[in-house]
Amino acid sequence: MIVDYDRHVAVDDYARLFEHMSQSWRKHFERDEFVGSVRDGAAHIRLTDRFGDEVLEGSEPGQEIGLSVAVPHQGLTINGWADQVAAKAFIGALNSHSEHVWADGGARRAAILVTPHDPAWSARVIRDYGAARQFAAVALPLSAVLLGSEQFDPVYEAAVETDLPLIVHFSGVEGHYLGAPPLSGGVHRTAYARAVLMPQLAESHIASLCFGGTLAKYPPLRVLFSGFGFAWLPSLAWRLDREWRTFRHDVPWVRKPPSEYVFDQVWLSSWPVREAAAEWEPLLAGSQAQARVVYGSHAPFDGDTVADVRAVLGADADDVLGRSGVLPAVMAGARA
Amino acid sequence: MQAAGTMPIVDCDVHPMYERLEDLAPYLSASWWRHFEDRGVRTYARARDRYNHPNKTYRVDALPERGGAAGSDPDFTLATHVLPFGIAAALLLPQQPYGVTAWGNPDAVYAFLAASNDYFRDAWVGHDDRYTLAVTISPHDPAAAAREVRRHAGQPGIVGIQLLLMDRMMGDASFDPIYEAACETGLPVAVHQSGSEGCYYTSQAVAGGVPRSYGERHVVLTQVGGANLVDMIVSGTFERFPQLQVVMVEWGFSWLSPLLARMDLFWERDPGAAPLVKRRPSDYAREHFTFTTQPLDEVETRQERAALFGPEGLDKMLLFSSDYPHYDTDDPGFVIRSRIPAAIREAVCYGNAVRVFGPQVLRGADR
Repeated sequence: MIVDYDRHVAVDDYARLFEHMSQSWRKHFERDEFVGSVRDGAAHIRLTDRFGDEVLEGSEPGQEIGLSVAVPHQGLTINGWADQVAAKAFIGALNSHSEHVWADGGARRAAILVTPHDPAWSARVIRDYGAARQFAAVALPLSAVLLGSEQFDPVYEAAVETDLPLIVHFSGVEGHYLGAPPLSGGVHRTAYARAVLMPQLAESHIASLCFGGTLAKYPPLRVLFSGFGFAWLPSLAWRLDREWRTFRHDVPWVRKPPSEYVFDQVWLSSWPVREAAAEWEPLLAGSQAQARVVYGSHAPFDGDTVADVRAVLGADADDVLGRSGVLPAVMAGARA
Repeated sequence: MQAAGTMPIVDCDVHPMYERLEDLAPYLSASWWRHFEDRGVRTYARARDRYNHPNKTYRVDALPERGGAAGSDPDFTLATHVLPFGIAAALLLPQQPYGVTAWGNPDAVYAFLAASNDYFRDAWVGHDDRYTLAVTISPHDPAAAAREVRRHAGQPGIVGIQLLLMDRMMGDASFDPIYEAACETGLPVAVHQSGSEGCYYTSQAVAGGVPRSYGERHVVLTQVGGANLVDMIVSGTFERFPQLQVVMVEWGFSWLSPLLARMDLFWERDPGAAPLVKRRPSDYAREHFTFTTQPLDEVETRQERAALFGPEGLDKMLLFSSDYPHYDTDDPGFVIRSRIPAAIREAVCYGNAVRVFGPQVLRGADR
């Protein structure tokens, strides 16, 4: 079965979320500038300076897909919001919308949106929805605190308890909106530069999950970094292990080379598959890193269809398209 | 092809130190000397209360027999590093000036940098012709930086510019006077991490947030090098300065190939998103950037080694470096003999260095 781990969904009108809110939050959000910002979420995640394109809901990446995990990307953009209390009402409404509209519990499932700014609340949300067949993952937007911080432990405990993988996808405001996570270096003035450097965000969080001891502490935890590409992983793995060899006495809770945790618990989605060019990028070919890549269409944005993956990866495409590690129970039919 | 051990080796990352602040006194005005003597001089950039090294940043066996800090005795560095490994030329990148990245007074910065540059020119480059120097400048005052470059250009053993980084990235137009001076004098711009990265509002940072420990930060510190490469290309720097050469020191290089592939991919898909980029982005990188080898990724298999050195054009982009006398020095004998592939050994050991720094980098090779 082919699983699409990077399927985006969005509402075309924020007013559609009002029925999932309390009366008082509905009153709060009924304002022209908020309702009028509905297109910003899509523009952010496409990492473009061109605002105003329609909110894309259509365009299926292929007929063969047996299961798609939808990330409501408008919810990710709360990592650029100033009001993190209102943000919880917003993503709560998106989760309710996922449960009733986007996800069918069969081939179309959704990621539960949570917030890095309130891990205890997020853990409750994960447990509330964890058993519902509409949901197959947890989507955690990135704050400026790296994921190896102990403050996220309640989120990881809930994810492990409910057997749901964590999906980490940029919202597009990283390195752009004040308070959102920075990108490396200083201020990048173009969306193109931010898109090029976005993988470094995943690098830093993977390093933090390793050196902070999170992956060691939660062996069942599965984390999918989605939308960040994948060709950079071998270089990161070498650097992780070299620094661990030098400084392992400083991080005694990291009990084996960090790359071993990564190659067991971390996955990357395949978009943009052309990073691999006509053949697998030389650093990646035949490496353990290559075995961490799972299919993500990035649809309905400029992404990769199943046919694109086959065209680029050839004989290796079936491995990527059919890899089951992120959702082993679902793929085995053990989880409804 | 010459065997390792007989070919000239250019070590593009050796750190000298002055022993005492008094060493700089002859190169300072009376008032600046009083200022520095009264107030002290901060010569380290990393915030040591934020990221403390778990051990020592220098090799204990690099402490000179006569006393003083590791790297403070030019004869001891010759005897224990340059001579034993047959190094024909050591590019000196003084590290005490890295502290100025945390200073706030541009006048004090340039009084100190000028004295430091003069001192290392006389006490090291003038002491032995195997020593060559990159003149240190900072972004505090680009006009003063350009003057400092021109003041030293053309002197024996001055082969490059060491540009310290603060918050502005290297594509920023404020650097243009520095690049003008670099192109006019034919000196490449070398950039070495100062230690300030990720420490201050005035410094550049790694992506995502604040790494918790020294080692974790070190894993991702390479990102700052990548970000500045992208920023220069996206900002059209090499369209404005077609002669400019940039030497990235100690930023690693195994991340380069996937980064360039991604740059090209997104640019080909939407060239309008990067209007100052006129050619394939990776072409600028291959024509204008070189990278030093230390800290070399510790690949374990033959296949991994082939992949590490395999990317297109990398053979012309690598410069051997040891980072002596720091804790993570790459052993020249081992790295050159057992890690650098034979097919690119001459290019990495000296060929690329001669192309980038000019033949004067090997002025001491005939002894």
